Amino acid sequence: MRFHFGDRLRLAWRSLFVQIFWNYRAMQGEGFLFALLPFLRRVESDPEKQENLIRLSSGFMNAHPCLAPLALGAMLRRMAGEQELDEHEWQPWREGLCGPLGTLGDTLIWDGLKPLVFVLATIVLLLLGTAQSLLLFSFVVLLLYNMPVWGLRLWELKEGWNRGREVLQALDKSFFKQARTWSDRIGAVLFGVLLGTSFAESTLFAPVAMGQFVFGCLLLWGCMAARWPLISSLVVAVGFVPFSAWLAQLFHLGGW
Amino acid sequence: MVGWVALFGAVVYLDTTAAFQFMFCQPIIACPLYGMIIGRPEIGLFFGVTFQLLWLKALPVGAARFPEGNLGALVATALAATVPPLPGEAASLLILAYASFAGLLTAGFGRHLTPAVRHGLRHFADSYQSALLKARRKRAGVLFLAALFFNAVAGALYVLALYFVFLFVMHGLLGVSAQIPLSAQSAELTDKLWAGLRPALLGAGAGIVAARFVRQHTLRWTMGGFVIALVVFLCL
Repeated sequence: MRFHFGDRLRLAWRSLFVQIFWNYRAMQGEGFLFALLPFLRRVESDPEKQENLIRLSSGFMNAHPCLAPLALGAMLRRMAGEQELDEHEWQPWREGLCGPLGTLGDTLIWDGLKPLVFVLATIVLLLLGTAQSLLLFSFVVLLLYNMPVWGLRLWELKEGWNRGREVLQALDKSFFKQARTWSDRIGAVLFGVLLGTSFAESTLFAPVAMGQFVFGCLLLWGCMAARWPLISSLVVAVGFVPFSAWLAQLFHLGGW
Repeated sequence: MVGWVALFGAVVYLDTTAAFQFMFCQPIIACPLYGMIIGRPEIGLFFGVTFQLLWLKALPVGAARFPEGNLGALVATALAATVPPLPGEAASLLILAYASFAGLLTAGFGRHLTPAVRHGLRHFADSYQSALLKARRKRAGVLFLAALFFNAVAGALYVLALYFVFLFVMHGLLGVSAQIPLSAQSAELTDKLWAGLRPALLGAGAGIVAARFVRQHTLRWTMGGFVIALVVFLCL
């Protein structure tokens, strides 16, 4: 079986649905089956062997959705390349992929790319402050997030297909190690810009409003560090607004 | 308007965890677009910007429960948009504050939504696998679409339910509706109390970003960014 660029695109598209059946028994198991289904027919024409491949594809599996294509490519390669898949070895091998793919995806995407793109987008909207060109803005932000993610998906499918059983070696790249360091640095710069922009945008000349901004910032920072519940912390932050305004009026502080 | 709320609820919920994950679900994308469609882009912008940063640390990781911040932002936008603007096209800060609380509570209750949906999906998953084992591919295709629909309907129903509850409370508690908008006089009075809403929400968002990115070894990068922003602002 050959794995062309068109096949990669098709599998990448179907990998967008790996969480569609997410449940507490097999987690993404059936989602992986859905993604691999059209390829199983090409790998095996014998109905009995196909049935076995369906079973093997749908066991317990969980990975970060953006890193799932790496596992999909490797599974497809093994199904296409190995004469007889050892069922006792297959499932532990699959489950062995879950941890690394989940952790790396969370670090790289959920905790890296996503906050960077959306903090940047927030800063841009704070600076623009108008409703003009909202469609164009949304399009650019979505492109900024999705282009690297799609590049990663296609690369993963190629690597997964090339490496098969040894797919985890693909993650042993200095790029992934450096990505964390650089996302921290860029994020820190963006936080600085956000701080400056927020001050400048509405609070620079209003001491009470600046106090409310600083209070909200310190409260949430502290709550996050202490792992306090997010919603309660946010409700306190918003609830503090009228209280602080009342205090400011009481002590005749000018604020607005 | 209710139709748009349901449609956005379905799409946002699908995009958050179940499928695609193009990030259309993020408040900064979904809220301004919703606001634009119903003719109140300023409301969408307010909640898009102020709510975006609040959910950066709430990650949809594995089986973890997480607040449905994206749905919360949508409910807040939809609620605030039901009240007509004051003269001069400004929204009352009291309404924005009420909608913010409603959005936060919607997000908080949403912690139970995804686990409930995932329990329901077990049935679809089992049936999908067994249909394929019996070589009933058409039935498997239908089950896939049904699972997609199930996720979408769950998001739409959740958003609609919370939207109507908070709308009902807004009518009862504040006496505000599209027919009886907030008077300019009472808005002026309450706006004094809620003038700090936007700075406080932005500050809370900044605190969450700080918790993620600011470390001892990145402090000088933060200082650099802060100085750049102030210089740019002063130059402009």
